Amino acid sequence: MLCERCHKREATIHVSQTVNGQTVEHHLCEVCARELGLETNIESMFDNFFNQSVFGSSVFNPTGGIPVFGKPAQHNLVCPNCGLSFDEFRSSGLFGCAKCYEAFADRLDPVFRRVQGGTRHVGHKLLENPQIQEKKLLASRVTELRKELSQAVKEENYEKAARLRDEIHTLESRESEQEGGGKE
Amino acid sequence: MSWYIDKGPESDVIISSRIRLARNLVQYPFPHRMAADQAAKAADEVIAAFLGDDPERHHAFLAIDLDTLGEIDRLALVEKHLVSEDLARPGKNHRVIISRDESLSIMINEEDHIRIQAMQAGLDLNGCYTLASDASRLFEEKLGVAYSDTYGFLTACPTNTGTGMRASAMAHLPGLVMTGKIRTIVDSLGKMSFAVRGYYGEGSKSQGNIFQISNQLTLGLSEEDLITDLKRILDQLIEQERKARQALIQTRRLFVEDKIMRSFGLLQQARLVSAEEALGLISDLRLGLSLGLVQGYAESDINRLVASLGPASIQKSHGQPMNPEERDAARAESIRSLFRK
Repeated sequence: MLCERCHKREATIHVSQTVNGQTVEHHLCEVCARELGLETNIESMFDNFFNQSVFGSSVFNPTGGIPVFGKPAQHNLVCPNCGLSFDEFRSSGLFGCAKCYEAFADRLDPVFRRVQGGTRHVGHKLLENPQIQEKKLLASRVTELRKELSQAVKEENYEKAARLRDEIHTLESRESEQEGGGKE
Repeated sequence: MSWYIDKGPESDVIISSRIRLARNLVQYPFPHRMAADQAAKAADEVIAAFLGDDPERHHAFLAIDLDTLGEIDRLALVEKHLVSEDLARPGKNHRVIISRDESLSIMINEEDHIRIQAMQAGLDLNGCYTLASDASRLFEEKLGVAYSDTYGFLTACPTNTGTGMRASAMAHLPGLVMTGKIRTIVDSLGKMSFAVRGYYGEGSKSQGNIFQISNQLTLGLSEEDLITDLKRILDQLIEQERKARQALIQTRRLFVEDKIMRSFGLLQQARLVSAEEALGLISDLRLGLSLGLVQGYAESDINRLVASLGPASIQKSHGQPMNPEERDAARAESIRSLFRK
């Protein structure tokens, strides 16, 4: 049997495709199959075909038929705090830092439904409000930096002192920002 | 006395109970993404927060840098269940805080920054929870603990998110093993979201008919509900195990008696005993004690013996590295010294 696409080479790949309940058989040569994005390796062919059928794009889609699942931008979700991508999280099964939970929030419900069943915390609450905690942290960091600053001045290390002074300014402005916007 | 030596409630079936709470610091990446200097700094903060300046606390708790211990000492801590195998791996700024009575251990820089473990003899999950949550409260007051109103306590692995709590019990189930009922029970526990593991936790097989049973879920249920559910399951398990033991003694008395007395003989006379064989023999002896076939040995003595039989513990108590045969001989000797009496 000749390939139904090029009508030149022998058809060695036979695919049945069910669309709207109708099964259509396709007979292709290896070259045409590859050009259409069908792998000649049996395993990946099955994977590929399965994905494409599931996600509704035909193997004969002229654009190459890459299955689109969700919004394209979500493929590159990255935690701004630690740099872990959602794909890395999915393959390792571990978050990179506490902020990853916020960064990946839109996609976590299915994850928790699968591993936990529940998706929302109903247990013991943190003793203190996280906002108060962050403020406390900022304050203690500022105290620490001030100590370093006076040490740097004593040592006449003015370059370091200037850097520390800037860092203190940044932290203090963050502190006052929180005070302004943190009230309910 | 230590939790693993004491005799607690329902101790004919439940050897010990444990609660583990996972907590993290908000300002550092999770341990698997921390640089060495960050890990050291985080560990210092955790230890300082827990011990403070109080000399009494410094006396009641011991902070250990795992990197300063030799291999035998690290593994001896694993055998006592005070640290995980993971934490015993060197070179990762792993630390642990252990209470003098060894009922509380706080692992630092394991999969999460802080893993609080509280242990009690017998079935006492509430006692464990009180100990562990007191420790957690201390960290919550003093450190920036990673938490969100939506997901609760934030952990490196989503299987711990929420309460961060794993409640577990070590159950001695020779009756259910001998009557062949254990398989069905393990399967049905799995279907109800409880995990069943061996004596040394995750990935280990059961030794000496001891099984670790724990909750798998941590999100969407409160700590109290999780503990109540586990306790309800354990109560059923205790009843089933006791029934199985009675059924064995009624229907196969000679067989059971023979098995127990043979093991008793080996414990009194054997010259070389491996750790695995020892746990099997001692399982038979415990069964004999609970059925009244053997008498005169205190559970606390047996628990103390079991805690000292691991390869690292044997070498630690002899103060030197030993080859497997030397260890088996030393193990047999300490077993004989208890059971010859």
